[in-house]
Amino acid sequence: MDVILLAGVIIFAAFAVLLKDMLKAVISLMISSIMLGIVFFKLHAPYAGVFEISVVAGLIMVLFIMTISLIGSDADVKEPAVPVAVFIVLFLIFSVVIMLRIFCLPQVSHQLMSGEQMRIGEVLWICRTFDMVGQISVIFAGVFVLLAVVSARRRNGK
Amino acid sequence: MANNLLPYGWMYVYTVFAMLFIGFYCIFARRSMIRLLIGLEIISKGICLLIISGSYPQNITTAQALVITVIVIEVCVMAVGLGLVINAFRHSASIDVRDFSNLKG
Repeated sequence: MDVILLAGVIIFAAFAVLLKDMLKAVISLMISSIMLGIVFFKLHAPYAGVFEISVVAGLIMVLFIMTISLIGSDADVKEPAVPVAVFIVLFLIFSVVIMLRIFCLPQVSHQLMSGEQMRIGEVLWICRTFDMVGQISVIFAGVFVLLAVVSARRRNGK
Repeated sequence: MANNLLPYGWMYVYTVFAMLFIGFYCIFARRSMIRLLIGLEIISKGICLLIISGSYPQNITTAQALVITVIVIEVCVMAVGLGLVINAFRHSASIDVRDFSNLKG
């Protein structure tokens, strides 16, 4: 089951890059995100899985589809003529190299961290307080940049 | 290199590197700005999988907190990036990165 899910993640991510139709590419990326969310669930990381499925496969894909629908078919970009075979050959070479490296390098050692006896909320608010402050700052920065972009568009519209 | 506490941990490491390869291929070989953001998204997914699979099972709670942080940052980056794509398209009627080689002002 894990092999199927991981293979699906790779295959649909490759489709997102190789498909010419932008909408189909975004839908492939969404399927890849959903499969990755299921992998997170299987690795006993339900919160990460929920965020991956709801936010990445939901919100970000809605943003992509909204952008594609706003831009329309006028924005077809002439991509360089790199055949799919080149991608497949490069990917196979890369796979062989990575497999050799994986089985040659030493294994990761694990040490128990202090936050592991806590729940996710306690870890976020007590152990990772600065991360939360950073997240809030990033959200505000994103909102302000979007407001700046939208207001610039309105001025240009006038 | 693979997580020895995770059954078939090498599969997860391979998936991470495969996704990094696909994402970087997308960034280097494609010219559409939306494709570049898709490549960035794939790289981010690979990093999230690396964090979760590398910390299974002992440090999974901290890893989830980090992944949630990564996803929040990713959403903001995508929202801002797509807003800039729309703005660039309204200015120059193109989303080809080659058309944005000249800086102005």
